[in-house]
Amino acid sequence: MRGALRGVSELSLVPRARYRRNLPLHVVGLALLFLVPGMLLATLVEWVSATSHGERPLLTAALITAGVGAVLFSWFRPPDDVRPSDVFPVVVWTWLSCSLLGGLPYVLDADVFGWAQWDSALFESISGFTASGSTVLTDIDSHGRGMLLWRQLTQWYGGMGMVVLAVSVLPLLGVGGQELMRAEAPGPDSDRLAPRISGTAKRLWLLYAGLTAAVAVALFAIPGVGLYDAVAHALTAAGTGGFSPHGDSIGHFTSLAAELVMAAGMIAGAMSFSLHYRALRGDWRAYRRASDQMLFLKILLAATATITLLLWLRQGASFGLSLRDAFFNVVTLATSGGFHNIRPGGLGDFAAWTPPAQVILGVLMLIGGGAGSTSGGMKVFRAQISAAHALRTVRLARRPRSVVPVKLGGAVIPEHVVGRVLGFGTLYIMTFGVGSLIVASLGAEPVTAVSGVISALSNMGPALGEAGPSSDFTVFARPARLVLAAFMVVGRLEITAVFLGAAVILRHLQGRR
Amino acid sequence: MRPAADPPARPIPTGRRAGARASTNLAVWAAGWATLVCGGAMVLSGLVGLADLGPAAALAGLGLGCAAAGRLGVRRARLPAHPPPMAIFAAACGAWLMMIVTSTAAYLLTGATGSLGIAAFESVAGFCTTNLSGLTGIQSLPAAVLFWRALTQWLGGFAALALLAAALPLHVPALVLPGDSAGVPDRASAPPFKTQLRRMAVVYGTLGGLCAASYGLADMGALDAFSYAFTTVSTGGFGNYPGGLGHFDSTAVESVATVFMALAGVSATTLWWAVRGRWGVLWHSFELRAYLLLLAVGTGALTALTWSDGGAHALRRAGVAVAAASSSTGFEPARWSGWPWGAQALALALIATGGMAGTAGGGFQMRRAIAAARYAYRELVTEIHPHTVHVVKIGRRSVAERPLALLNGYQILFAAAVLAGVFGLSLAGMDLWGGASASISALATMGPAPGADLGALGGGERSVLAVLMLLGRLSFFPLVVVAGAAATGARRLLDTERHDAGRRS
Repeated sequence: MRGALRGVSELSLVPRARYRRNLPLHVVGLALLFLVPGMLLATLVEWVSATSHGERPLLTAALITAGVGAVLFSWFRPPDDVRPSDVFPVVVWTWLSCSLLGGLPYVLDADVFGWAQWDSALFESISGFTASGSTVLTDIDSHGRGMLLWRQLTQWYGGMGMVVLAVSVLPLLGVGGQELMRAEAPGPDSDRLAPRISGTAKRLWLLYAGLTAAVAVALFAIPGVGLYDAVAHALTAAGTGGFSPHGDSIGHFTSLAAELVMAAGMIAGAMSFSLHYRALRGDWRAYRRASDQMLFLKILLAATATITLLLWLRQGASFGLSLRDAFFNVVTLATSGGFHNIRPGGLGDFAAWTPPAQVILGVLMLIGGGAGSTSGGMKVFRAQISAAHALRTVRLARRPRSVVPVKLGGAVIPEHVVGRVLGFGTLYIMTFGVGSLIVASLGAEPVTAVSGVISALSNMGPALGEAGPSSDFTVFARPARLVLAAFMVVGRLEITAVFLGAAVILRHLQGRR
Repeated sequence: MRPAADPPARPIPTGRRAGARASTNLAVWAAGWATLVCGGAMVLSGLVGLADLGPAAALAGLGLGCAAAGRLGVRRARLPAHPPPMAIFAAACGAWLMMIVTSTAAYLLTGATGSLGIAAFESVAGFCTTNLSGLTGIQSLPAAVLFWRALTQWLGGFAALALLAAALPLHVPALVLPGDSAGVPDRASAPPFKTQLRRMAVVYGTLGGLCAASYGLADMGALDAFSYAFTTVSTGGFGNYPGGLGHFDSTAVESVATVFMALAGVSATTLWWAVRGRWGVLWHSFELRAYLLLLAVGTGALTALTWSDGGAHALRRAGVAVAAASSSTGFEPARWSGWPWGAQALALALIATGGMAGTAGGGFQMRRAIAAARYAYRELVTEIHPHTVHVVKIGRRSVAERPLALLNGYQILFAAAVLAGVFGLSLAGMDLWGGASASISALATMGPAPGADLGALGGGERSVLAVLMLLGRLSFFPLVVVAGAAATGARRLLDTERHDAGRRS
C-alpha cells in the first residue's frame, strides 16, 4: 500500500511528460547564459568608445538575459535520456529565445529602434542569430560601436549555432547531444571529431574561433583597416553572416585585399568544418574526397567566369573590374555571406546587373554552400543528389524495370537518404512558394518578394530588386518583415527542424506525448 | 485512330536493334496518323472558309496531300506487339513533330505569315494548347486559317489525352491518371489503351459540342462558337480576336467560358464516370475535391486582392482568371499588369499548379502536388519515427514507391526547366519577373503571363518558349528520353566511325 502510494506520489509530482518539457527550458537557459559575455563585451566597447552612445541598454540587456538564463538553467532539470522527438522543440525554443533576448539591446536603446519598433528589433536580432545579414537598421555608421559590435556578435553566435554551443558543455545530454546537433544543422556531415559529442562540439567551436581570429589578423594587416573593423568583419565572415558596422559594407575599404580576405573567410566558412579539422590534422586530401565540397568550388569558378563574361560583354565594364566584382559577389551569394562591395566606379550593386547574371546569382542563393558549414541554402550535396535522382528518373522512364542507384562521388547513396533529400526539396519549394505569395500579397514587387524569400530561407542578406545591396529590408512592409524573419529561422534550421518542432510543441500543448 | 493494343501476336522484341526497329515503326505509325488527322482537319478548315477561296483551296489541297502521305505511313508501319517505353516516347515525339511540320506548312501556304519561325512557333503553340502567338492582325486572317488555328489546339489537346492513355501502363508520367476517381486502382486493372481512348474521345467531343452550343446561345456566331469551343475544351486559349474574351464584353460568354474551362480542368476519366451516372466517384475523388477547393479559395483570394476594382466586377474577373489559370487555358480575362503584385503572384501560382491529372491542361497538376505534399509529410514523420512504415496515399489509394520516385524526378525536372527558361528568356532580353512568369506559363501550357509582355516576341524568346511548351505538353519524359537516346545513338555512330577509320589506317 505504501509502495503503491509512493508510486502514485512520484507519478503525480514528476510526470514523465512534464519532465521532458524541462529539456528545452534547460537548454534555453544555458544558451542565454552564453549570450551574456557577448553583451558584456559590447558594453565594455561602448563604454570605452570615444563616440559612446551610452552603455546602459547593453548592460541592462545583459543583466536581464543573465537572470532569465540562470533561472531557466537551474530551475528546470533535464531528463536522463533524450528521444528523437524531444530535440526539435529544444532547437526551436533555443533559437526563438536567443532572438528575443538578443533583440533587447535594440529596443532598450531608443536611438536604435526603441519599443515602438519592437518588430524591427526582432527582425534585426533574428537576422543576426540566423547569420542572414538582412537589415532594417538605417544609417548604420551613426550608431554606437558597442551596439554595432553586439550586432556582429549575434551573427558570430548564430554562425556555428547556439545548440552546438550548449551541447559542448552539456555532457548530461549524452546521446541526445548528437541528435540536437543534427537537428540544428542536419546533413551527412555528422562526423564525430572526438569520441564524445561534447568534444566534437568544442572542437567545432574552437575551429570556428580560430578561423575568425585568422580572418581578423589578415584584415588587420591591410592598410586602412583598423582593429575594430577587422574584428567586427571577421566575426561575420566566418559565420557567413553579412552584417557590417558600415553602411557600405566591404565597399567602405575600397580595397581589393580586403575583398579577397573576406572572400577567403567566407569560402572557408561555407565548407565543412570537419574537413577543416582533418586538414589541420594533416589530411589535406580530405577535401578532394568530399565530392560536394569540390563541386562547390567548381560552381564558384564557373559562376564567376560566366558572370564576368556577362558583365564584360553586356554591361561594357572592363574585364578586370568585371572579374573582381563577379568573384566577390559570387562568393558572397554562394556562401550566403551577404556582404557587398558597392564603391564609386565599381559594379558592386548586383541588383543592377544584367538579368541573366541575376538569374545565376539567384540559383547560387538557392543552392548555398557545402554540408557541415555555416552557410545557408539547400546545400550542394542536396543539389547533387536531386540532380542524380532526376537523371535516374529519366533512365527509369526508358527502362521501367531497371534498378538504378543514386551515386555521389562514386558511392551509392542509401534510398532513405535520397528520400529525405527529396522530401526536404519538396518542403523547400512549398515553403518558398507560400512565402513568396504572402510577401507579394503584402505589397512587395514580385522580384523583390521572391528574392527576399529566397534570401531569408538561404540566410543570405541582401536580395534582388528593390531589396538589393544598395538598399535594405525597410522596402518591405512591417508585417512582411516578420514573415521574412520567420523564414530566416526556418531556413537556418533547414525547415525540417522547425516543422517537427512546431508539431511536437503542438502535441505538448494538446497534452499528448 | 487504329489502336495500338490490338496487334497480331508476335514475339517480344529483344536487343538494341529490335528495340530501335520497334521505336521507328511505332513513331512512323503515330506520325502517319498525326499527318492523316491533320490533313483531314485542314480539308475541313478549307470547307469552312470557302468564302475566301484562295487560302481555303491552299489549305484543302495541303490537307489532301497530308492525308495521302499519312495514310501511306500508317499502312507501311509494322506495329510491334509489345512496344517498349522508348517506342511510345518516339511515337509521341514523331506525332507532335509531324503535326507541327504540317501546320507550319499550312500557315506558310495560306499566307498567314511569311516567316518560317513565326509559322513554326504558332504551330507549336497550337498543338501544345498554349495561347502564345507570333501572328499579327489576327482578326483579319481568313476564316479557314482561324478555324485551322483553333483546330490545332483541339487536336493538340486530344493528342495529349491519347499520350496519357498510352503512357499509363508504363507509369511513366507519374500518377498521370486518377486511378481512384476512375475506379481503377492500378495499372494491372487499368483499361486498355483502346478503351481509355474511346472514353476520352467521348468526353472530349461531348464537352466540345456542349461548349459550342453554349457559346452559340450566348450570341456568338457559328465560326466563333466552334473556334472558341475548340480552344476552351482543349485548354488552349487561341481566339479569333485580340484581347481574348474581353473582345465580346459579354457576361454570358465569360460565364460559359468559366464553366467549361473549370470542367476542362477536371480529369476526363472522372467526367466519364460522372456521365455514366456514377456520382459516387465524384464524391470520393480526393483530387476533385482539392481542385474545387483550389478554385473556390483562389477566386476568394483573388477577389479580395482586387476588391478595389469594385466587388461584383472583381468577383467576375477573379472567377474567369482562376478558371483560366487553374485549367491553364490561355484566355487572358484582363490586363494583368494593372493588378496588385499579390494578385499577379497568386495567378502565377495557380498557373504553375494547374488542374487535375488526366486532362488536356498543363502545369504541375493537383495529383502530383498532393502526392508531393504527402511525400514530404512522410519524410518528416520518418525523422521522428525512423522505423515506421508510412505509405503515401491519395484519397483512399496508396501510391507505390516507383511512381513516387518518378514524381520527384518530374518535380526536379520541372524546377530545372523553369530556371533554365528564366535564364534563356533573360538572355533574350526579358526582365526577371517577365522571364520567370513567361517561363512558368509556357511550361504549364498557359500562354499569357502576369508581368510579361508577350505581344512582340523576338526569335530568341520564341525558341526558348517553344522548347518550354513542348516540354510541358509532353510531360518532359518523351522529349528528354528521345533526345538522350538520339545523343547516345549519335555518339555510338561517331565511335564506330572512329573505330573503322582507325582500322582502315
